[in-house]
Amino acid sequence: VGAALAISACVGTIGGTKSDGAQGSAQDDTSTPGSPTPGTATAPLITSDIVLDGTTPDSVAQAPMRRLSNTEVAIAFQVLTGGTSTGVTTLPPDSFGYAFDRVVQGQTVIDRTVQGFQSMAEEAVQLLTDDKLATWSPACAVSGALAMDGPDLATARRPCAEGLLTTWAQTAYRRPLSSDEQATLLALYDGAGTYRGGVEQIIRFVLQSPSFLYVLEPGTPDASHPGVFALGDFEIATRLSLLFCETPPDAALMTAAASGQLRQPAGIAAQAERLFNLPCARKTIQHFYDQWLNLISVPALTPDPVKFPSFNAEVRAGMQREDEMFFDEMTWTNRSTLGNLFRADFTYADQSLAGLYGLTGLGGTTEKVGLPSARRGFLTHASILAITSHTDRTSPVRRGVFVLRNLLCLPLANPPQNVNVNLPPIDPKLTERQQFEALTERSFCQTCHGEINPIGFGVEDFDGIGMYRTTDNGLPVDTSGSVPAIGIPSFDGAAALSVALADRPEVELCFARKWLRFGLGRLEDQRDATSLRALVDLGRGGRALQDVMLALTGTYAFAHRAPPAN
Amino acid sequence: MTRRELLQGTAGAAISLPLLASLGEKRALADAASPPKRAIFLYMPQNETEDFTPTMASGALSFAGTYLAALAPYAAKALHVSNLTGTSGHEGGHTEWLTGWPGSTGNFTPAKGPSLDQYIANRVGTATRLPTLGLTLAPSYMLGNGGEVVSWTAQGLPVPSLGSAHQAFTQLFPSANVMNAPTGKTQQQLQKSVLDALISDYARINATLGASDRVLLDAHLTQLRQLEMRLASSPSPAMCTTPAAPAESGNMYYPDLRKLVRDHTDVLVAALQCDLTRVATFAFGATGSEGPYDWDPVKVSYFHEVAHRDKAYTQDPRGDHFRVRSWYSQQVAYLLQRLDSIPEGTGTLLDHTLVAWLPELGYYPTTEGGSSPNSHLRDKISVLLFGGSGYFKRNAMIDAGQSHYHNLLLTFGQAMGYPDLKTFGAQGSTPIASLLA
Repeated sequence: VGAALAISACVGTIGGTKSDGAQGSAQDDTSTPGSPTPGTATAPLITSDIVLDGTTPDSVAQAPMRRLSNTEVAIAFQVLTGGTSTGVTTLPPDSFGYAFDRVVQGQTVIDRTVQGFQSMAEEAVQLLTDDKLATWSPACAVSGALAMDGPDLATARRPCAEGLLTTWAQTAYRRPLSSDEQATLLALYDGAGTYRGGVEQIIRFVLQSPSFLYVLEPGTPDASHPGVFALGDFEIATRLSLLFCETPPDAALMTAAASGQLRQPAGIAAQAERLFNLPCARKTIQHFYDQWLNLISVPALTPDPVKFPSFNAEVRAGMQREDEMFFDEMTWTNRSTLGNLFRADFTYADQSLAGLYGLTGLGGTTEKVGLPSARRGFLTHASILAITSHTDRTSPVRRGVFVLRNLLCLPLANPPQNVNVNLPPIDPKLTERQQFEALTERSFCQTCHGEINPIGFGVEDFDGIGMYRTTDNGLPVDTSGSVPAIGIPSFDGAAALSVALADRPEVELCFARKWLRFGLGRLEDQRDATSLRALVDLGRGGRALQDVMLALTGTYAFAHRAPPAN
Repeated sequence: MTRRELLQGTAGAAISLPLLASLGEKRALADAASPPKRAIFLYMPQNETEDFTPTMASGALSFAGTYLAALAPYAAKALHVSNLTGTSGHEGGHTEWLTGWPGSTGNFTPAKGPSLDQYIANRVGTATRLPTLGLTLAPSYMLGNGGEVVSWTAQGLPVPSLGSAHQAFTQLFPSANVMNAPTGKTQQQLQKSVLDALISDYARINATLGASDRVLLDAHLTQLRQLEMRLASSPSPAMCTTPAAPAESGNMYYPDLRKLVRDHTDVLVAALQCDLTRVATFAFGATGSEGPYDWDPVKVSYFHEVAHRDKAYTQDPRGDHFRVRSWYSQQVAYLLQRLDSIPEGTGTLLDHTLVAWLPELGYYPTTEGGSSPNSHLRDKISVLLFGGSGYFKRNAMIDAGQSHYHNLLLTFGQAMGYPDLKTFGAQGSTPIASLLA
């Protein structure tokens, strides 16, 4: 009898499918797509695949050209047309297989992708007005012209088409157009035979063009690093703008690029800081937290109403408000360090969470409140505890896997092949932990569960919707835990785990990895070590999260790209 | 009279009736003389049990007493195949399901593409408006993730399924062309010149990039070329009368499965009937499927658990599994009933469609190795085929004698009209001749 019991099958066994979905992101993380890496029984069970040994020379991980994420396309459409595209909503959804929606290794292009872009371009055409055109280029400021027609007007209004090439189209391409590119667009204009028709052709083309939809970064060869390319002015500007705002560069950034300011570290830093303080950055960084911590699955929470009668849509919304406010306040207002995200003895709640948190005196407005001693940091937020639970009970496995994958970036080794997963009968009168220990006590289970379970067991003081408890199934909960993978020998309860993780170098490295992956839209590997190290060192020196985030823009990885070897 | 005129004429009389009514009575639109072969691959999350095993009683296939009972009216058009072998585990089963290229453990990405639906779509080419149609009951937040995706391009890029019947409908039956038609040029001319220019631009940029660097851009260029060919060759939207659109699903996080499965089925049948696509995947959930199937009499809120756990977690694992699978059968019966109600050539649309019930995991009797249907093995796999008249046996049970599952995929590919397909997947090299009519 042969069975391949993968780690995620282990997770599945215990974790179930909701987590398969929620954790679907993490599951794809364990190896590169298309290159199977069968597990071997002798490999070290769980070690980081990136080591900051200080000896790795500057380089960057190889990755293909990426496409704008659906979110980035939607925002760019808004910037370019002032409207909202429904065509974008018909695009195949971006995968969260590698945690973030913009990671090239998770991207695809199929018929619906191309059709979605085509509909989007047609929507832009529909939105065309004289007033709008006038804002795109001064050369287009002739009111009433669109309504008129005929070949004569097409010739007379050609300056508008030419004007668009150095204004609107440049915003879309995120760089000046070459003369060939300008000629292509003018040929389309001329071919239409009318003014309106010609402008429409330009719009259609630009919004479906590779220069708009893809982050093209040809760069120039870096003489000292074969296979690596240094990014040019507008490529740097694009990275900055996508990193912080998921949008094409604004006028100030384009000017900085055009005038060569982004060739100096100080020039990049100045623009990074400026962008970081725009409202769009707060939104983008919210997206980062949501995807890193899988908070995107909070809206899908549907706990069993019989087991958790106190849960309702209001509570779920309260959880979302708590997370949003916590990370926003911590990042900007509090200038929090990474460690303090784990140590915080306060959170942001309103009356919807009062019952869950055992707090009184809360009103309808989300406000800062002190936490009871059983809770510390975001790890004890009800949202995180609930999304790592089953619908009707906790899941020590999901919680353990969440810590290992999302917070420690540790790849779980593949379990041996040919394992029979038939489970023994379990006494339903036991606690979740006791049932679980019995289920996974056999040695083949322990290859992965030995790493996973002790983490999850230690946070059994919170139930499936994140409410504090001292008993489970009528028996006292045992909240003794450990994190063998990083040598935390023991902890007792969720708050203790959170505090124990606060200053761990593994957590600092993991945060740096996730931020770099998000920022550059590609998977990271050992070749990024010097860039990651710069971020980790900053954080370790007690600098605020926002300083660490900003510092990415000063790294070698940020300014370079390596195409995959063929 | 050209084929297109004929089709338009046929369709012309119908107006906006409910999806079912407008199409149900009509003949399929594909050329009646030699209807094309179609295939629907049903992805059934989790495993099958002994309750998946029909019997032969006096020469007739019978589903009595199994969770397939609802399919009784179509037993005469069914072929049950047992004793195939494949790759175990959710990852193995999910990734090799239609590709024959199991991924590594811990990874829901197959080692290679294409999946069989994509292979067939490439062979069909631009004869139909859509290359393939991929539908799923998985919740929206799973869409695009490896555990949901069952279809992969030849380049190994994922083809996410559609979780919204409304969206699927819109794709099949686009509302009147949204393009403005400025005077002087036709819409098609304008559209074509933009496409031509885009194709040149993608080709120009791709030429400057290494093959691995431009993987997405290459896929984009391919799709643009297909779009252009479809624009040239085909199918104006008038090819088939547009049936009424299904309503947009409410909660996409947890769609109403009972409504969604019907809406998906109606859209799928319309797509085949109108010859808008010839191959489809229809997933009854993502890997492991959770449901929830929380209505009477199914009442299983967490199917994955049932198929995993023993009696500590469900008092009656076999019964719970049975009720979920029975519900699946009822939905498949509805699909078959729709297909079989549409006359085509000398038979029905069902006769010219292979409907393949293919489980994610294997065949695992609850009596083996424990008390519950918790297996992730695929050392034994059973599948159930319907339709495929003239190319598959019907009213039969075949023991495949441990032939590899990939051989089944190869057999499908050849039977769909591509005998030059000699291998499929990692181990598909010998078609299973005993299945063929």
